[in-house]
Amino acid sequence: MAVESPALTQLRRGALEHCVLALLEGGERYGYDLVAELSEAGLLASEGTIYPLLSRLRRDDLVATTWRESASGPARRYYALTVKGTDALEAFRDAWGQFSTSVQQILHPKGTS
Amino acid sequence: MMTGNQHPLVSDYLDRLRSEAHRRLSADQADELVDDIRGHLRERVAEDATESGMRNALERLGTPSELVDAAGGAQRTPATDPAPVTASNRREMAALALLVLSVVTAVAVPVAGLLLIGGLVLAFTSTRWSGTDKALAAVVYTVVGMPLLFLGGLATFTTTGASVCIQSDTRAGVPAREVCSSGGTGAAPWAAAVVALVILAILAIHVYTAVRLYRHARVPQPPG
Repeated sequence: MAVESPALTQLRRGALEHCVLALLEGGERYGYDLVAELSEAGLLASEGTIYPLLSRLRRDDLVATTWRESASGPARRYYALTVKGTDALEAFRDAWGQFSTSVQQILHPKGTS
Repeated sequence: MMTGNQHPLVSDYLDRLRSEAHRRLSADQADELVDDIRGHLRERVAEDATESGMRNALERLGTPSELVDAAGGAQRTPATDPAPVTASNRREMAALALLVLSVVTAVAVPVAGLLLIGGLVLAFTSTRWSGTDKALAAVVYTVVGMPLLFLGGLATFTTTGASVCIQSDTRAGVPAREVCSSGGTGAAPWAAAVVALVILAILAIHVYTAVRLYRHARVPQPPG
């Protein structure tokens, strides 16, 4: 794999955090489930890094966790969005909309070759 | 746990992750990370338990160093990291336990002395406590601690002695001065109050020190 620029790493990290919050908007999920979905979308460079991210979100009170028994095996840690997490997601949605529009306009200016 | 029927590849990966995490993260954070990754691999193995499936799963997870980096682990600097002996804060907890016990057992001087020396040796080889922490531990547990507690015990003893002598005095009708001279001298109420205050102050210093050392032993190690 090509070495990623630090800027891209930072961008991915910031976006990833809020993608996790967005996935939780539809209801609580467990870690492996989140990994599968984000990995599918090509957002994870290495799958394991999602877990430190999740525990940071929990320490920052953006998500809350509960242990639930699973039908197939040992208990799973489920993650759910908190009120603070919902607010953070909304704020990022607004900012991201403006940001991506601006970047898009600069990267692909209309009317120029 | 499920270590028994784990694939060697998986248990080897988890071992490396555990030791790296405990070296660079707080104990709580390290345990949580290892638990999460173990849970992830368990789910993964349930889907595909073949050798190649497992290799693929581990490759996609990232290396233990990458995961600890992502968890904000302190950077490893081989030059200033000569002995990764203190993987956890067990050394500090043991030191603290010995030091506190040395005060509790201060009446039995030889035992307390051994505990004190053991505790101080552990404390001074700690990599988590700062120089200030170590100096505080040394001063509090030696100078402030035992001699004063010993004096405190002595004072209590003489005070009790005095009260006994007064009792025997009223009962037997023996001249007070004569009897009390064999019991306690200087056992006036104000002296007892001063002694009590001193003991309280010492206790406060001890509680502060123990709490401070305990908290510092739990803080993740600073980078570098």
